[in-house]
Amino acid sequence: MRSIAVILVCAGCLVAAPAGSHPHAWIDLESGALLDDQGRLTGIEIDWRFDAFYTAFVLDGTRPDQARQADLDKLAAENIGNLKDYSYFTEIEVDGQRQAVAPVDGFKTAMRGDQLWLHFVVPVATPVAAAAGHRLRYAVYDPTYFIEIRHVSKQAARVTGPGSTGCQTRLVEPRPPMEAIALAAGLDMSESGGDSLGRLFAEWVTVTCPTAPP
Amino acid sequence: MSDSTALSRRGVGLAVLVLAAMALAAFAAGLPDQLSWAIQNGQRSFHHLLVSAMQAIKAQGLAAGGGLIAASFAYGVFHAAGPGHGKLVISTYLATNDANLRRGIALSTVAALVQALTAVVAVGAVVWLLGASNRTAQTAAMALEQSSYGLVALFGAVLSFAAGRRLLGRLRRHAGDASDGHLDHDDHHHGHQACAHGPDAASLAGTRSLRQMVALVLAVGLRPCSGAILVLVFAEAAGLRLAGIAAVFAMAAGTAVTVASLAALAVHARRLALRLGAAAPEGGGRLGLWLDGVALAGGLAIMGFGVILFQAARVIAAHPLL
Repeated sequence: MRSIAVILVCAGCLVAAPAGSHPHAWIDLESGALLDDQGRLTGIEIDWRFDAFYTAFVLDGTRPDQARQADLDKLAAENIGNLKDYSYFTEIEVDGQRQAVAPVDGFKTAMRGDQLWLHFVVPVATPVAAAAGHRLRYAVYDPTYFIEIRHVSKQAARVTGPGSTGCQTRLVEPRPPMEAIALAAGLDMSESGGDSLGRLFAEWVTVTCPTAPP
Repeated sequence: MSDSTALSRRGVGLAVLVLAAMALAAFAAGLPDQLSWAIQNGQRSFHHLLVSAMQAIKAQGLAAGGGLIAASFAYGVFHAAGPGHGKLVISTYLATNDANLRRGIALSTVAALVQALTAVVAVGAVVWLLGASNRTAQTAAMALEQSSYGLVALFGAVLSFAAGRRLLGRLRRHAGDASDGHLDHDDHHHGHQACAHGPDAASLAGTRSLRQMVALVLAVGLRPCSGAILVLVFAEAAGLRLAGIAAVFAMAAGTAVTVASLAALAVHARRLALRLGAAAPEGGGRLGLWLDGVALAGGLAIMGFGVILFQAARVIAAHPLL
């Protein structure tokens, strides 16, 4: 009898945490900081693969292998347009200063198996010196944490462009506080934990470049 | 048994209850960060598991169906596939109202099955029959969800009203025959006195609780679980409608296991409290009063859950990617 009680308590505890909780969709991310020949940051290149459930949902009955390019383009244009008010889920900091972003111009989209793929570049409003001697970091996240956006691997965060020689990236894992995890765990599909929840679960990419060669 | 023994026994019982509550609260509040982060990450793995199980069926046919059923069942157990409020409402009801273990488990199981059925019917009617978009199905699901919350609030209100009326009646009787030694006549089967109208009252209470449970199942089950809707939508896109339905019911079975465990906990906790209460010196007499008071509190709590969830569901934040 006692052992049954113990089992029941354990089962109850396991269940107490996740109940229809946020996130409700996932994006596999690859990203890259773009540095021009003067070592200035011009933008962040973003490569998203949506999870198969989300993909099926937005394809609305169309089988993944039968999706028409025109429909995918329309969906992508709509999504990119909606994301404008959210800085394209991107936060960029140079030397501790948040950088404003400019509207995204153009995208690529296609199906990758069961997953919808979307590629775009978020330009910074004004290119800013970010290479040698500067501290550059950025994060790509959904502020509401409805969608969890994570890099597919440590190597999936890159730094590219003519000014990127010798530069390195480091992926900083999120360390969400307990309260945030508990809050997210209690949020169902139609609920919101506010626009500051996702930041606590964001991965940050820091870019360091070698000091100018002698 | 002397009064002092009874008192000390009650003291120990109370201490045990308080300690148990504190342990639970500490666990909920101080769950090690690493562990809860692992649980959070586990969700992603479960989704991947479901997707690959579905893809295996597409590639190898129904022979690979066992994997999907197992994955869905596990998803149901651990993710409790949706009925977050179901768990809360059902265990609150069972802890504050008279019910036996078997009924508690039946209640949880039927509620989980009804939720699965609601998801299948909602998606089936909106998407398969009407040919509407997934977004429309989502909207319909949200409307059902909100109705469910409203009904839960109503259910709580009815429970509170009934308990309040019983409580008032008892208080009046108490005032009436306070000089009499036998204070309580229609105490439930835990009472010591075998009164003349005991059986009648018990069967009456049984019918009442059965009716309440049916209402509870309908109120809770009207809300389709979001996980089930996603699986149905995905299965449809993969051309695996039947596999999707099977997966949803496997999920419901998993959910039922989870909710039934909590229900059993609630029933046992109530029993323990009753046993301790009966050992108290003034025992049986005041017990009925306390029980009705607890039932009133439970009803009010359920009404509170319903109202809060109903309010929260009204403010649906638009998401840029949905």
